[in-house]
Amino acid sequence: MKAFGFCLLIAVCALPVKAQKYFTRDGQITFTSEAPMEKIEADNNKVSSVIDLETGDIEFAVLIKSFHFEKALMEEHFNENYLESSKYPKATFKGKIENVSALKASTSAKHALNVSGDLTIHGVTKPVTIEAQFIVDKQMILASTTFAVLVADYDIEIPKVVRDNVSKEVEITVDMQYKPL
Amino acid sequence: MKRVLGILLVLAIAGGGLAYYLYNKPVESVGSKKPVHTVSSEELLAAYSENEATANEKYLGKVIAVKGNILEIVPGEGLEMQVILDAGDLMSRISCVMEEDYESFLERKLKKGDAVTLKGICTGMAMDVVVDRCVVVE
Repeated sequence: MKAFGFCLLIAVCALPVKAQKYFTRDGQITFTSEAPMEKIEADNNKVSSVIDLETGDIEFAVLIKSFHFEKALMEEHFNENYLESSKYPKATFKGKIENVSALKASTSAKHALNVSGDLTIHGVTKPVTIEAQFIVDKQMILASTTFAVLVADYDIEIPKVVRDNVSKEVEITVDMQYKPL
Repeated sequence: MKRVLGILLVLAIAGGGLAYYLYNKPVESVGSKKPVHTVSSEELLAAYSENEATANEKYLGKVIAVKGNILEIVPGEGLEMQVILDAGDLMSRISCVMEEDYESFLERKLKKGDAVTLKGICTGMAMDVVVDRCVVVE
């Protein structure tokens, strides 16, 4: 009996232990605005995010001034006029991955899961649900998604003068590689 | 009359050229700019850890020079290469996103543990305090 109990204990210890929390400090977010006169694109490679596989909690912090544009004038307008980044230095997301248990059991499979929570941009918070693709690859979690945001939803004002240069709807692409905490 | 038209035309072309130049010019390098503050990596992190809003008022969007010991050199392309400075904390460091090419940075022969001063624009704190478009201060 004792031998059996001992063997069971060893067997349990031999089970692969998956880390509970995953994080990244170098996540990538790109936003694109396609307007009649111009295509504007900006990249941010310093996105911070944490996933808790146990609860499904997922959080993002995006430093607005870390977005890089090709043209100085665009970067200036983006920061000073549209996002007012000195007043609202961060965009954040706080929510939950639905059906996160699919990721816990997984090995190298791709999952399309819904992520629901509060998205805060320019000081305005809106509830959103976004479908994202998750891959658990050895000790990493890869997550990616693309979704659209209506600029007006977050009280971002585009002056009439540049209306043909900046679109009302902006496409956001998220690309993250999480490591165990 | 013709003279006036001629002058106006030249001005219009010059004006157009200037506008085109201004519209398309890339973001300026930090290299020529003077830092508003010079701090140690520990000081910078302490300011943000104590009160983020106050720290942002002081550092956010400003050109700052940060002195610290190199914790990690992270390769990357374009504006992605990073020099991570030790700020005395396990989870939070100073992440300096470099304007320099990774290959050319390696030629400096700087390594982990070396003291270095980097100048860039503070973009705030997420997990790390991020300083952007950094150049090495010789």
